[in-house]
Amino acid sequence: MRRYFLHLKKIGGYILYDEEGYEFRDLEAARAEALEAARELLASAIKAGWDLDTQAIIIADAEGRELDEVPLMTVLPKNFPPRPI
Amino acid sequence: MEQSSRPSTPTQNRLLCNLSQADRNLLQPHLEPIVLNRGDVCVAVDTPITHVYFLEGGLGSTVAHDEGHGTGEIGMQGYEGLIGVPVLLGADRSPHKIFMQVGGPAQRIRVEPLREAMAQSASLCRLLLLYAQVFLVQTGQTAHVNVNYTILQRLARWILMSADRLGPHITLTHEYLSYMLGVRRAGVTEALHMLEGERLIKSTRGTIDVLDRPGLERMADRGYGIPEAEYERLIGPWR
Repeated sequence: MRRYFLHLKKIGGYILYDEEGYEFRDLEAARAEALEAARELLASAIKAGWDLDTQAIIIADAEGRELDEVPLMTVLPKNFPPRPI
Repeated sequence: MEQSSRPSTPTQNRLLCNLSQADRNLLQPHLEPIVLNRGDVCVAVDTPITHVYFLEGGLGSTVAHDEGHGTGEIGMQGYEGLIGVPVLLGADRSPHKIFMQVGGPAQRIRVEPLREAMAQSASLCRLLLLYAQVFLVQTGQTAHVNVNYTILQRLARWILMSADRLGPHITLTHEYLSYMLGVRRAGVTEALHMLEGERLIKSTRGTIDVLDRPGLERMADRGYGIPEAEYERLIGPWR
């Protein structure tokens, strides 16, 4: 198990830091959690009608190195928004 | 859990305080002062329940859990209530776990003498069943807000309910909050940040301080207040 942090990257570059971190067996597991988190953030913002200022979830290690980034756009359903006919 | 050496001074538990002297006398010889610590399990899943705990502080939490879908809190209790509603209703065990989120003192009683006292005294039975009703109203409201309220409203409700029992300084990690609210931790971090942006709370690592209680109540809307008012109507003042 390794320690990973999922920070929230806001519009304008501001970062809301994950102060607690998670234990995951590898980066793939951290990525899976980031994808689920992105889905939930996007879904609750749409449902509540909020402006969403989180653009992406940054996956970092305990040394603060950025390992990956999951943009919230990537969790939109396939074929959405629909192409104009 | 550890035995407490406190003398049997007047209790802080609001249910015990509301008993008649005769009902207090029925229970008193069987009450055992104890200190519960964070994480102590008072009722384990599908396991015979041994004691009922009249809390005098801290925060107890009833949770549902399964491997596939995680954990969700369905009820909480502090010094206003007790741990062991299934016992009051006649059950020997429960599929839900009840544990301490925040430790505190309690008076506990074994199940058999409590059952005997309830069989002897209609007024004791009535008070404890009224509490069971208030607790059922609370779990019903939890189901309602989980379906119909935003994460922000639910978090505001949860903070208010915790502050009622612990005071305005609450020490719990985001990980814990995510279990309690049934949302991912990123959602908790974001929602806490939004409540901070509204200056309703101050959130630092592992702690939440209530800055503007009326503001939190406005945020929680009707998600907060119904079981609290039912307690006051059926049992007495507590907050």
